[in-house]
Amino acid sequence: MTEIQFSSWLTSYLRSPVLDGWPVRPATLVEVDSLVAVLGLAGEEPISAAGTGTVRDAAVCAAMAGCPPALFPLAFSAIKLIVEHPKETLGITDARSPAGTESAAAYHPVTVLSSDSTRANNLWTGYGALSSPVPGETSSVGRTVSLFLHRSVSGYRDRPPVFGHPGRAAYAVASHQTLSMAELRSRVPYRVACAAVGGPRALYLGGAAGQPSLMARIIANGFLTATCGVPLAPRAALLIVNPTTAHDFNAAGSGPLQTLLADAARYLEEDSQELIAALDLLPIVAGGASQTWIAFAVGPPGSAWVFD
Amino acid sequence: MSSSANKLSGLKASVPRTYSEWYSAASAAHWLDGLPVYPAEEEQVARLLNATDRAPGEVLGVVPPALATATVGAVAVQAAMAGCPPAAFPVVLAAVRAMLDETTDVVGPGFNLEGIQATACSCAPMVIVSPNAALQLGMEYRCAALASEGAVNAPIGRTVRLVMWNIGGGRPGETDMSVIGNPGKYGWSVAEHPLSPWEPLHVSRGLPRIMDAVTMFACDSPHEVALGHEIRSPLEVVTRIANTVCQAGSLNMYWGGQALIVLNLNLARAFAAEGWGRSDIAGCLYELARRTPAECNDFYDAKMMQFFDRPAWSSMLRTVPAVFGPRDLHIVVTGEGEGAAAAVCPGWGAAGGHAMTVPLPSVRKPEPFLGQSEEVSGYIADADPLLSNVAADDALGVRSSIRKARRRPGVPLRVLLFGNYAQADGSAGGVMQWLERHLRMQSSVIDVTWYSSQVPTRREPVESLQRLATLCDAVVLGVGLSGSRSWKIAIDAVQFEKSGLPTVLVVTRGYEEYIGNLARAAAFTDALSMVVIEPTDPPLETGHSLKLVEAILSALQGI
Repeated sequence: MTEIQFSSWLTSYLRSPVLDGWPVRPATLVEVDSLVAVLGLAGEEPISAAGTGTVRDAAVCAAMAGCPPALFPLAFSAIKLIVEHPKETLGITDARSPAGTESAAAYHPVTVLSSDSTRANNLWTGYGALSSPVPGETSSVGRTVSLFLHRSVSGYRDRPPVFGHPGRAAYAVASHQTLSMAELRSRVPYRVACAAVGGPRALYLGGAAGQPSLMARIIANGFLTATCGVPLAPRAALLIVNPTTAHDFNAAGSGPLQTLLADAARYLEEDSQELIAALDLLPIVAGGASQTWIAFAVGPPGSAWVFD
Repeated sequence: MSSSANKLSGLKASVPRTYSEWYSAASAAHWLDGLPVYPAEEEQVARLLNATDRAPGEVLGVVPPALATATVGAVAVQAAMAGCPPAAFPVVLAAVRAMLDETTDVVGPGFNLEGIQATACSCAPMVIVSPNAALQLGMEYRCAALASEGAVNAPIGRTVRLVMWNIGGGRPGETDMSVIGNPGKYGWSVAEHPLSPWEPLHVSRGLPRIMDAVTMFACDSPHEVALGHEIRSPLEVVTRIANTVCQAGSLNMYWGGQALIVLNLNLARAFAAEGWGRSDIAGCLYELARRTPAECNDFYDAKMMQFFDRPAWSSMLRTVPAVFGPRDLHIVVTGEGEGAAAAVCPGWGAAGGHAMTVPLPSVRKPEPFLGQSEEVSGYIADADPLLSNVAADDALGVRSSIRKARRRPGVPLRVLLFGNYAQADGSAGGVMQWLERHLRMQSSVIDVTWYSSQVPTRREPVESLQRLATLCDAVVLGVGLSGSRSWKIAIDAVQFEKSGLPTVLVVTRGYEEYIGNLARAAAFTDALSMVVIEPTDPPLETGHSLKLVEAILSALQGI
């Protein structure tokens, strides 16, 4: 598509079933070509052997999402991870079949950009990190992924959840540039991580600030509530802690966070530490430095983090 | 251009040739919030205005924190940017009106948009559309019902967001202190299911069934209740929902307020088949969603529970309920699916975001977003409502002369001290209590009036503060560690300054830039007088405390 008057493009395209109702930019030929060129791949090349979509399909979504060429490799990595690992990132075993009994729930792949990616691209990771306010930044990566799912992954579009959550429009978060949790996983080098998870659940830890054991109890109670204490298969879990919370945990020198959470769970409910220990937990630092907040999201049984 | 486009006579149009040109201009003007929007074409804005009987210049209210006027025309520009179908525009207008409604309720401050725009919490405004209107408009209520997807749901929520962003100026890191945020902040609209076995939400909130209505509620992203899609007994389902409502760390559990409970159609029908109505569920949930003081002690230290007035509750009730009463649990039916599904959207505690319901005019069948015309009549390129508000500041000289007229030579300065909450920690709110005791020792030069409120966002205490201020020569306000409370106090400071009342803000480190942003957003261009304290300060019992008193006195002498 060349640069044309906007309304004629919109008139012909807006009612397309491959869009989700949210505004998009027109994808011009020039923009799509420049996005494809950034990857150094042929436009018609399949994204994966599974055959779901081409490089060009992903570039069209990026153009519509307002994703700049510099960030397209990150968005493309997320798409490739999702296409190659549908069970872990979508909660579905293939393009059409749901896995387990919870496939119709509110799961959607969240894209986590590592501290290195955040630093390299100088991305926003402060206040409102899950609703990144800067055009052409983290939100455009999440929007690219969502548009690709709507356009190219038939199982995603044809089997929508009962409720879903607002993250289906764009669900991405950039990790803090320098802070990280004292956790092994977050120190493994990666650019992008993806997993199927539910909507973010925000918890205020103000009444326990500076007391890691109390903070861990609140978080553990959240995980136990979200999973209803049912010992299902290992599942992906995202834990976003704001810088103040990270400081409190790290300053305590209390070891890996997951161990602390498992101990807290055992305090709350006997034998429930196994539930926490079975989580595929990715703790990251993001958000503003005011007060003591976390947000977490849990995936379906069988979901797991995949990394690039 | 149709004749109705003339309704836009106040808006000057320019015509970028391409979308890219328009996008660049919009980005430079900070109209974009991270996700794409459409250019506001004159023709489309005119179509939106034709869908309402209201005049473009009609004022819907003042949107904080910029305190800019939301006219029907300005909202139409945002609706065009969101891709809102004209038929849905009355829904948007009703949503904006509900959001700006300053009516307070029995347990708190009503919706309190100024707080929602500034709070550190993750809540986002959800637009809930009554079932008949949803059906007429073609809204999605069967699947992905809480995801705000579809050609009608998405633009309604998106327009509300753009009103908050472009007219209200609520921008993360500048004036919006939401620590982690929530994707629902990009826009969130939900339709009630027309086949619900119960009356629509607005009927349970006192409006006639024959009406269509819009309810605004500010809440966190949905917390899905693990039901495994099985239809379980009503009591078991309510018990599981209750566990989610009173989850530790939820603002409901800290602070009461309201919560939204979402049931899919199957689950609602299962309840109805067992003879349960909406009020039965709310009543049972109210009884179950509570914790004992011992359980609270597992999670929170006593100071925090005291701050939120929970000991008083527990002594009266023996347990601590998550909300003040069954009426604070709003139940909505939406979504289909094969099994049972339930979700909890926790509210923003007692500070606000409470459900506000307004009636809708009759809803028409939707028209296409755009007509078939290939001719572009122009983009509204300079309709930023913030720009028209910036020149309204008082002149510094006028304020100075008012100040001089108020001062009484040889008489101690009457100073009003306001602590924003009774928290005895190192934040400015807690420090104010300490400051009060020490400034009273300076009685030869200062006559202190002390005022404190735990919940200053409620209207009554703020009005009391303003009344007290009229009796004083200067005001010292404590601000920090809470976006919503800080917003209110910063705006009070601006209003005091504009009325000639010298004002000093004691600000927790990290909030000084925020306060400056708020003042600018409220069209106050002069610097506010601030004394900055460190958030990690000890209880101020050392020489450090004397320096703070000196700083306050110095600031007061300088005004």
